[in-house]
Amino acid sequence: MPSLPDIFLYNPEKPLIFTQLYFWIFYFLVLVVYSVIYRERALRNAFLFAASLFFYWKTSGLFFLLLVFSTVSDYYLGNLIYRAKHRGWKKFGVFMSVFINLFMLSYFKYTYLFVDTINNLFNLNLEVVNHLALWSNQLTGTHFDITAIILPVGISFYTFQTISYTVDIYRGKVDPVRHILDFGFYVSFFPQLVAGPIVRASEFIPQLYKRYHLTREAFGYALFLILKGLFKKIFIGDYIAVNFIDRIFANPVEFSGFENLMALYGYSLQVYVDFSGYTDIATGVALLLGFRLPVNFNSPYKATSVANFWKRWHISLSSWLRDYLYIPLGGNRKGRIRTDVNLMITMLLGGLWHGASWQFMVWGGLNGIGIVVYKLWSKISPYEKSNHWLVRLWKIFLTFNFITFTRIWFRSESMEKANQLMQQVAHEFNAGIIPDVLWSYRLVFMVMALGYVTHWIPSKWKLSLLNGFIGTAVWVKVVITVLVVFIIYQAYSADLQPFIYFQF
Amino acid sequence: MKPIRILIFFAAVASVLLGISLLVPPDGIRLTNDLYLRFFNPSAFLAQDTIQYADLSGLVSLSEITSDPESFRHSEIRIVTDTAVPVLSAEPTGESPREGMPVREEVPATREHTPDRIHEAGKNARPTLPENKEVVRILNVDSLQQSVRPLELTDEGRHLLFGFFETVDRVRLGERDQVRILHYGDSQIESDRMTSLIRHRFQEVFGGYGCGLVAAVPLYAGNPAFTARPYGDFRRFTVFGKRDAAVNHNAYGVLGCYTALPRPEQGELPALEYRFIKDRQASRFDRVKLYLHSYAESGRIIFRVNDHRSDTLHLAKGGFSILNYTPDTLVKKLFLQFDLEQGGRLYGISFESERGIQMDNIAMRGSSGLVFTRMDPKLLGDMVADLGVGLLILQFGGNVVPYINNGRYYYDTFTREIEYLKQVFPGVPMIVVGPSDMSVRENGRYVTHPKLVPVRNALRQAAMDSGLIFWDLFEAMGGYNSMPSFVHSDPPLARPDYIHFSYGGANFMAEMFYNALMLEYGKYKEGERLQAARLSMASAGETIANRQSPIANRQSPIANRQSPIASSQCQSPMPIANRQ
Repeated sequence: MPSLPDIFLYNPEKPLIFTQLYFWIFYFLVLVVYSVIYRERALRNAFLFAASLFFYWKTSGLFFLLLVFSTVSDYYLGNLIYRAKHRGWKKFGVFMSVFINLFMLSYFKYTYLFVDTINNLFNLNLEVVNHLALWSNQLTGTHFDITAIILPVGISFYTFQTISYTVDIYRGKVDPVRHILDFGFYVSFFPQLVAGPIVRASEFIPQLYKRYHLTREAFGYALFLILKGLFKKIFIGDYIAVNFIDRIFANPVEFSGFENLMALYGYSLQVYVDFSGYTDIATGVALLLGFRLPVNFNSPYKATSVANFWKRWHISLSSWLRDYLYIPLGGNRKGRIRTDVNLMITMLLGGLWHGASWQFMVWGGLNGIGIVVYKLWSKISPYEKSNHWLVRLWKIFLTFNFITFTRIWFRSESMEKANQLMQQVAHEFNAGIIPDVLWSYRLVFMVMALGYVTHWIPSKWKLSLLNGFIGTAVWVKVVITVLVVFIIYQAYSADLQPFIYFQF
Repeated sequence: MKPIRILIFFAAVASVLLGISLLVPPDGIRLTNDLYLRFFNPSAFLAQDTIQYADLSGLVSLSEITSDPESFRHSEIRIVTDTAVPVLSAEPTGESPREGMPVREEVPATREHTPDRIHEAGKNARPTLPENKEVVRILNVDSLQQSVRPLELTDEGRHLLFGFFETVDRVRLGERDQVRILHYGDSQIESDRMTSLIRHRFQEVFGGYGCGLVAAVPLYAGNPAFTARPYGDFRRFTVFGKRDAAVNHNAYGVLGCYTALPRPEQGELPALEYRFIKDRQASRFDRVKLYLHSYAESGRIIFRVNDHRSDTLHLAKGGFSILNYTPDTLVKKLFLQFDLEQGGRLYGISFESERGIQMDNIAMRGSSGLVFTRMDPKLLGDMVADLGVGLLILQFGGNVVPYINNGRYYYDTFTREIEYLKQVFPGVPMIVVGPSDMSVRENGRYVTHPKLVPVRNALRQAAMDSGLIFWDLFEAMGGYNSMPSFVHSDPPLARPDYIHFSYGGANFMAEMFYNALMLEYGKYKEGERLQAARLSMASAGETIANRQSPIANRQSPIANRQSPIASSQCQSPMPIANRQ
């Protein structure tokens, strides 16, 4: 039985993530209090802010102070920008907000990349020192490790979110939040704190002042999203990752090219079901509390071009990059070449946002090239305006395979591993073992097929399923929920797929 | 819809789920042989905290973690042979001793040797033995004793191991050219994992370089010292794993695998190209040895070195041959062309130094070590006679864990293998290394496979009953539930399959194994020193009352040893070198 300290203290082994029972117990308790206070708007927001801070404390420990700092600094900078009479002060306010947020993000996320790059370029041996920990140790006598900088969970998301807040105030698109607790709630709202979607102030803040309202249909939709998200994340994503994909990416050279290729296609599915599944759960959980989060994924592997893919994949990020990076750079207003350069800069930095390594830059760069090349090609292609199903199928096929190809760098731990994977596919394909591999990992491949088929079936079929679920009686929803949880648990508790060799 | 109704909905779902969890037994409902319906167990959930992953912090402080054993270089290797603290070590450049590391100290020495400045030396560098170096850095035996998982030795095992130490000392002193360690294992040692570090350490201290005996066409990545590219249909056949039904013999050689050498077709000679990785100890060598079998009575192999020099070795007869080729330059690229009219088999190629320690990585993917008795003893004998094996390491067990029902069966069969190996490698010490921890999933948590300890015990018992040496890799890792800690450590010490070490983890454990060996070496040296002191006292007229050191008058069982199988059957022809 967990003791009281277990419940309240930070334990890195038991973070409050959606796939853990701890989270659902936490959520249930939040609902208990929420069902009593939901009518009192201010109290509701304050309570959800406190619950979100507790959630972040349980997930990231003392880093919740960073979240508090970000909340306080951007709240007051937002007020400064709004109230300043002179444009210079407004600019100063927005500059400080962007600087503080990007500095925080850079310090925690990119220090290692920066130091490694300097060391490699100039043949130095600089070492990373965590000055924040050092400062804390000297000032307060703590004993933090000063030799390592740990990346706080969700920092990439909430720093972008707060930047959007101050910039939108500067642009006059949104008024400042009236109370700091409301602002804190916006920054830290727990369903989307860890992995998005990135919520714009202009979309979310008006909801702070609305009364709780949830229709029966919205309840059905939220529940459907939660179940769908859990199924995608645990039943498909985790299962194929643990039993196949991770093993191969850990050391591509010990597997045939065919296995490497299958791991790559598997990963393309895994990264989608994992991320979109998490977003589905976040959206559903938020909706049950009465808050709408933006749509983040729209069947991205049905995209007909790379540009179209980015309108369907992690939409809250791509639209953020468009509004706060691409357009301020000049967007498409400064000629064709500048447009392409702006696109490349946006995609390269977008790549770097995903992770602090050169592989992510390559990934972002390839996506940028994909967009630019397609833009040129679409001007001369005779099929660009064709609506023939074969043309559409070809475009989807090409885009999906190109995106999957770029995943090599997204997933590989190093450039060396990425090269190894390509080498194996090119030189060690070993087609003779295909039947053995397919048979031995049949469960993994069946789950992969299920994932892709359900992704590619027509949207109207999925809509019918959703509407059917929404229209069922509550007791049927209980039965379906229990069944889905039971099925998901089978994947969660399944024995590890034994290690199988096809070549000796 | 009010939140209270949502709450009631969740409460209803939770109640039904709880009801199901009470109905489903903790081990699940068996549907087929390997398919179970399982469900959340509330008592297991509450008891989850009893599953503790092993704490590695103590272990990590003992050993270097590096993904590449050659990633840090020793400025100079110094060895002391006449000191009160006799264990040898090498000094990493600029490294300061850390807390928890075996104590290293500088001790004035009366006699020292510097075998080899391997990294600075060019081609044909030979161990040099200058006298009168001033200081030496050493491992402290007492510290090792406390910190290292020691070898478990039988009397016979210790006796043979000390003989091996005597031999390596002779190699170090230049009194003997070479001695070889064969490291057999399963996929845990694939791609030279573990072996590379042990080899590197041995070669630093006792001399030598080169990656040793390898399969002509390695499986996928093969060996980090080189890349191999076949030109022609070079097929690989193994005694382990899935055997090819078309193979009607058991001549596999000591590697347990051979590569079929194709016939020339339309004037095109099949060829193998090796490109050696720059600046690595493992990729430097003085000579190339080919162990092969020709179906025809004659044939030739053309050695093209670095794209310019070309030499041809002719086979004097058909059947088994050993070709010995000595290039006179640093080889970056080697192109071997096989002109064998009827084709043949290549049992292995050795890239080795003429002097020093050679260590061969023999990874048998999927094997439980029960394959030696299936290998042709005559061929084994022929190869063993040439190789000069001083130590055998047998690292198996992992592949039998998921399938075994009876530890006794594994004990019996492995014992049979040991007995066979004793005949093939007479007088050679053998160290059996048990399986590493491997996990199964239990309610979403990773725990030690329930069959692992029985397998470890069977191997240990087989080793002890056969007079061998055992090293408990499982306990050395930290015992129960240590694998998840290896997987989750930063950087990861094991792969996400919860079975195999990462390169870093393999080196980490190999360093421990090497230290365990060095601990015994320290004891050997201590015995030798005491013996020398006694002799010195005796020569001064003192009487030693009927006490004999167990080491005194010991003859190395390896010295001048001939395999009984080998001595009668080795018929290697002398190749005729023909430089073009």
